[in-house]
Amino acid sequence: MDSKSHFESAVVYEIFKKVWARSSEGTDIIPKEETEDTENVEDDSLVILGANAAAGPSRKPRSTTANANALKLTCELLKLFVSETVQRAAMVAEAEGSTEIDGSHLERILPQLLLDF
Amino acid sequence: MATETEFCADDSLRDHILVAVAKSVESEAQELHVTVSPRAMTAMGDLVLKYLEQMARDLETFAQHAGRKSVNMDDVLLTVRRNPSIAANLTSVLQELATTSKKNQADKLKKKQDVEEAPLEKPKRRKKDPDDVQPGNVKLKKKQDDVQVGKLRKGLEFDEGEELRKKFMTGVTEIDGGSRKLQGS
Repeated sequence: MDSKSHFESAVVYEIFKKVWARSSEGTDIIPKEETEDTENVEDDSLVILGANAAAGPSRKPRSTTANANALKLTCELLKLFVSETVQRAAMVAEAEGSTEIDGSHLERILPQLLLDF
Repeated sequence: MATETEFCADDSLRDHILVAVAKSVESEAQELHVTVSPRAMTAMGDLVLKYLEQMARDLETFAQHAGRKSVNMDDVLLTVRRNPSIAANLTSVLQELATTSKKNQADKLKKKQDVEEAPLEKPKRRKKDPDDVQPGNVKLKKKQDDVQVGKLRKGLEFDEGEELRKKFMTGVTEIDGGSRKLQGS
């Protein structure tokens, strides 16, 4: 691997936690917590340890966590995803004769890309 | 289960992802000598975000299915089960992670042992010799060494063996342990 991954585990972890909090909310019938959640996370978006803001007093203690190595693997996977996307789009653009990747090129590769990943 | 067209992540997280994707795309595009339009860039950023959120749901499901609360590396590997080449790629990365962490632990342990048990270290090294010997020769030398060390140890304590070794080690390189011991014993 010549270049280091630009994706940080911290950001990936935050996004995961958001999704998991949202999914555990779906099982609860408490709509209030949602707005409180987003406000808390906006203030300290990168404070990973402290941002257990998802755990309110009446929330089920069931939100998922992630392993450190799992996050690293995910970052690696994202890097693969991005490079695959760019390479396929570049091939399509080249076949058209232009050197700029445009939205239309992306559209063409998108179905097969999503099936492969 | 409502299909969500909006992102779960809020704006700051989305910005972080967009920046990271932009960097990756730029470096990749440079290597391929293509440029990327800004619309395509944002589209890719949003694509990655959607992919991440979908992956989060999948990972949570897999972990719950396994009866765990914490997402594991196996869950991540399960996400890419349909694509064998990616799976192979990730397993190799995984092995690298595992070996580097093991190496670090082994090095730390070795350092502790070096400090505490200096005289006993040499006979142990006879068998392993990972640092001294070149990789091509390790296996052959090991067998020879094992046989010779066995002969030595039958009759001798560690200290006595150590003295003998000191006698014969002057002027001889460490690696030729097998032939040297034949002469010595």
